[in-house]
Amino acid sequence: MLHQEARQASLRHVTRRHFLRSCGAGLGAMALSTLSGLARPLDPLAARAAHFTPRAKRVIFLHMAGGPSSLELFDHKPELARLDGQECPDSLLKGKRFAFIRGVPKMLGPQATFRQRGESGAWVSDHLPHFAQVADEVAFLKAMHTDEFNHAPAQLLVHSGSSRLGRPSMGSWVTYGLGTENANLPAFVVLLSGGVAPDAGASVYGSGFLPTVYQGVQCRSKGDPVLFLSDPEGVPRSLRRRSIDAINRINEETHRDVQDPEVLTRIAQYEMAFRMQTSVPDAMDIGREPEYIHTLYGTEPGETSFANNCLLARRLVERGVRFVQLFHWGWDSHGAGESEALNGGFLDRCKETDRPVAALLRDLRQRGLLEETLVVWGGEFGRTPMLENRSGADNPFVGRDHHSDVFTMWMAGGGIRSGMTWGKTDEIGYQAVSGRVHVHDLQATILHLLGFDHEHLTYPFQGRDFRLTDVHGHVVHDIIA
Amino acid sequence: MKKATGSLLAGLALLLLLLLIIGDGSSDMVLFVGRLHPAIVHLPIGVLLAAIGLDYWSRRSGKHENTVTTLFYVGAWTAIAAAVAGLLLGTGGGYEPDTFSGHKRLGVLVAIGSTALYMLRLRAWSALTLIMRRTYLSLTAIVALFILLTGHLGAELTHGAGYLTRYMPDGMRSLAGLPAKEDLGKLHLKNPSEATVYEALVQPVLSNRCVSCHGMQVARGGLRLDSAYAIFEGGDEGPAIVAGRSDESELIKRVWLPLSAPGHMPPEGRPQVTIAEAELIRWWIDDGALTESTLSDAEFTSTVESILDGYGLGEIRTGIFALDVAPPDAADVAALAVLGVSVVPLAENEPFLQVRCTDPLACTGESFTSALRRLEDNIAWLDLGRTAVGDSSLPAVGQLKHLTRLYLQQTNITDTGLQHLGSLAFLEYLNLYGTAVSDTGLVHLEGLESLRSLYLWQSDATPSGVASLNEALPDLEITLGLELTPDSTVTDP
Repeated sequence: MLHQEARQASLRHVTRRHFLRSCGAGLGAMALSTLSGLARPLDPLAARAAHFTPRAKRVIFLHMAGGPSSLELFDHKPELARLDGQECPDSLLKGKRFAFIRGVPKMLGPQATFRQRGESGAWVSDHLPHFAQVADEVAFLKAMHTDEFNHAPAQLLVHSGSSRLGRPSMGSWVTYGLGTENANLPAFVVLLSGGVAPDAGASVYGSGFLPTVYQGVQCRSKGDPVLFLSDPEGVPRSLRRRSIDAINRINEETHRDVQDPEVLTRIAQYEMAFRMQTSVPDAMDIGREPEYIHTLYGTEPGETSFANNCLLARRLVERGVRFVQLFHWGWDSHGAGESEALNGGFLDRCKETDRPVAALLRDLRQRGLLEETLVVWGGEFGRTPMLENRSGADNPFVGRDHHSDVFTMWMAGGGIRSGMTWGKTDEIGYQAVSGRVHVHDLQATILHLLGFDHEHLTYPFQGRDFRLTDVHGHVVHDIIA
Repeated sequence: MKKATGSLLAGLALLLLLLLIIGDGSSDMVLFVGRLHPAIVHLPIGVLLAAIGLDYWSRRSGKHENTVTTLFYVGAWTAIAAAVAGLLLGTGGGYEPDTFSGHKRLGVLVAIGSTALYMLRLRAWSALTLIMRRTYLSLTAIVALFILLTGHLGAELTHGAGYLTRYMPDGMRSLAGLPAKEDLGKLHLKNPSEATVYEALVQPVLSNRCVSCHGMQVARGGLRLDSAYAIFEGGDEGPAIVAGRSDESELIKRVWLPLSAPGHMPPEGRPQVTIAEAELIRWWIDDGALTESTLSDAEFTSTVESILDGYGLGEIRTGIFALDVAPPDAADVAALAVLGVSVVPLAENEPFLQVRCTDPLACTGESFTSALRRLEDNIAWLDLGRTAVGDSSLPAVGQLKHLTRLYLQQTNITDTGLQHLGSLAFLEYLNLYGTAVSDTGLVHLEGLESLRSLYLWQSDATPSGVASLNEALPDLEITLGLELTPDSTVTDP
């Protein structure tokens, strides 16, 4: 009996089914590595060369979640002030869909005063007095446009190139393409502020179908920088080291057996977590910054704030982090209540971000980091030149609806031609007149500055090569120095 | 027979006379008759080849003697007519001079040769002397060969050079000494970074399309386009271009005229300037028609850039990238990486390396500097910022002759160390913020002509030291940073 069972067991090992089941993954991995044409090193985070010599070595993406109104910040429209309170003509509404506006809305004049700033003469509203002083550092993209007018899909489109879930985020693509120069820190760090997580959730910094080692690591400026990173009480560092060594040995054997890249991810993450136990508290401790830096940024150690996150972003890129993703929630100025009104919460958002953003650009510059760090500022869409009055009743607060056809973003440093404006909108800031840049074009441009041909940074998944820009995207050469 | 011979000889005489007297410039009538050339020219080719072929195949039997003679008669006549029309057509000018003169000479020789063959045939074969027989036989071979050559050159004149071989398989092309098909249309410049825009992009277009009529030998309208000087000098109707104003430049206006409009250049029927070529010249004129600016200095528009892509000049390599440097030795790279230093190529297929030290202590000491020295040709970016590096490492750094970016911020280096950096001819970026460097050390940087960015925040350098360095290096941007001391505050605007 026993003998027979042993024989069956050994026979099972040599059946075709066993071969397919056990070796399928390995064959698949071999096929994948052949297909992608890249002999990638065993360490998935090892630093790698881009397609061509990069202009930018790293990115800080300041995402203003909610869709900040360009008409109150950068897109100066005196004609819109003249039309304030008038009913919107039919011709502007025909064929358009809005998230909230129904019927015939009234036009809403700019809720800000504008001045031309710096040598470039860029228009910046008085809501951003600090930023106005560094306006010469940036290139404005005044005719950005997107496909989506709701927050979650629009944010996904900006960060993953697709408005649906499941694609890797930009930071993941960059990390996949470049690896990391500093093995002690994550290559892709995410910093949240504003009290609300991004609408599309962690997917806006997820790794999609890329190995999970490339996903963004969320760090916090209050409490433990990375959750669950500290050793539990009673576990000394030497014990932690030995247990990780043992786990890694088992994982290495598993990898030899199944060739699943997720196992490599696991090994790399155990190792990184161990190193991060010492390196992250150091990098994330803004209390070590001198007082004048706190004054410059307006930071208060121990809080969760956009200012703290800006300072952290500088500390991280200084240490070789590739991609720092900031999210600041609260720009969704519908006017339905004080917290989300152009004459309410919007002004608070301006105050919270104005000084830190200007400080970040200045600080990067004086440290020699700005010329190789690409700073990107912008939301997921723009806002209508029409007043959104959802209830129709008298309302002391004013706001604008979501608008996907045109919005302003800016970029600075990292090979960008500073002190310029690309793209132009009509007299009321409703449609683009020239220089339209789609979100995919922005992504192609960012990848280009990092040294990638966006059409060739690909990953094979479900039978075809995917890329950040999918089948779209043109590099905006006009804003490159 | 006598009459026929007489008229044939008269035709030939007319041809030879024309050959002597015909000059440059022509009337509409001359060109009208001249344009019969392509209609006539295929007759002598077919008829004469038929005559020679039939003569060869029927020589033994002697069956077609009369037919052959008649064919030679018709062939000689049409050859003369074609040559006369061709000469008239040629007065219109605008043909590639070497090909044109070859075609003309061979065509006239075919006319003469075929007349001679006809006259030899008027006597019976048996009545010919041995020398005359041999002359006849070799003349048939020569005329056949010349017909083929004339036809080929004629095709090159009408369809452009390389028409025949354009679709030849690459294997045959390489046997014939021609470049591979995918290299067609590419510009191969010896030293792209130093070639001037004018020499590399503008003059070749003019030489290909214009110089046959507007050159040293022929200068129609008094205009020559074979040198920059001549272009500005212009012709009878004034200068060919106005620098900075393509819309006022006759050269561009003529190209833009409708093809059939009088004054359109190049004349109808001649190889035309392509849209891309016209755009290149238009851009060059609007950019100031500079004759000295090099490809690497020029700022191209996106249109021009995409044209250059097509020419295989998409990426004009400058600085260290114009150098021919061997890829690094893998063992040398490993020897540096094993010290805990990140060593990565600048880009795929690039021999240059970016080296970054993230461990503050990994990049000090003899093992590090000697590992650097072994890669002295290859290291282009060296980041030693925020490490314990001091002056003792800088002699080795100063040997990295292709260094373009050097990060020494927040290190222990001093003025003493800077003297070793004086020979870094390609250095563009130098970060010295947070070091003890002072004005004394900046003097050592005065010879770094490629340097564009220098960071001196929180160093001991002063505005006066910066000013004197800027005097030596006016293109250098020096950042001293915020003048913030621990007790100063940022004022609200």
